[in-house]
Amino acid sequence: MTDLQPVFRALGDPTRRDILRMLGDSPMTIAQVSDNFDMTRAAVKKHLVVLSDGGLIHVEKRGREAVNTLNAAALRPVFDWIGTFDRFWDTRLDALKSAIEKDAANDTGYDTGYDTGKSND
Amino acid sequence: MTLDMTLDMTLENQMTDTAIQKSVYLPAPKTRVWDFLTKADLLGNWFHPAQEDLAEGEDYLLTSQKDGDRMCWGRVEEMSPHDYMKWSFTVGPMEGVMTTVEWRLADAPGGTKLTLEHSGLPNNAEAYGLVLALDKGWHGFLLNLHDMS
Repeated sequence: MTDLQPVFRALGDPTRRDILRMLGDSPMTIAQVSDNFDMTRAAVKKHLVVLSDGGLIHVEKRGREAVNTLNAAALRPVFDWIGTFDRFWDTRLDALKSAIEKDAANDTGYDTGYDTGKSND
Repeated sequence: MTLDMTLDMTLENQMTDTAIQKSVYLPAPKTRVWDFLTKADLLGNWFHPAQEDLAEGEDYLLTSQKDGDRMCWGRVEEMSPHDYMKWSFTVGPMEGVMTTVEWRLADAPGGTKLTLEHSGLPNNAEAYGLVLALDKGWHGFLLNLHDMS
């Protein structure tokens, strides 16, 4: 897993964490989750989509219903903060390096004082 | 060619200190790298956009480009342009636990050496209410954690 943002995003919301706790007790349909939360099905559905994007739940079709199940394995990185942030910062610093390289390449009028001679690559 | 920058990432896993340290060489002067660390729009080019340019003593908030959700936040505790900056730092799933992120910039041949240190990371999952609250749906390793407490 290289990008942990979807997991962070999914877990960042207290309602979504509550939904996860409930799904930890037993798998539920959207209707069952809605009953427990006093929320519209549409609002619950939105949260479930974010949780699914983060890989934190599995959605399984059973007949006409979709049953949502906690995927506990996806939570593992969140409890390994060192490993999690190790990858988190690798990704971010790679992105910073790319952004700065692009910036240096575009900004030709900017005197960096460096050799910006053409590459033969 | 001389601008062939090497990406030199080092990781220190110190079990006692729980800090991560990484360095990267960037082909730009310190002043420009500083902008990428402190300007609201430039932060969005590689991290998440900030609500405002970062300022010493002020809270900062980085939000998702996708939907504006809060992603990372804390306070700029110290700023010494263009050499050093210290943040308190957290993300949503940490449920309010603050850690420390320090940025150090140094002149290097052809650009800047940027060093990141992320410290104060708890190595004990018990520190998080989320773990305790999830324990019914938890299989295996969480039970082991509870056995140790």
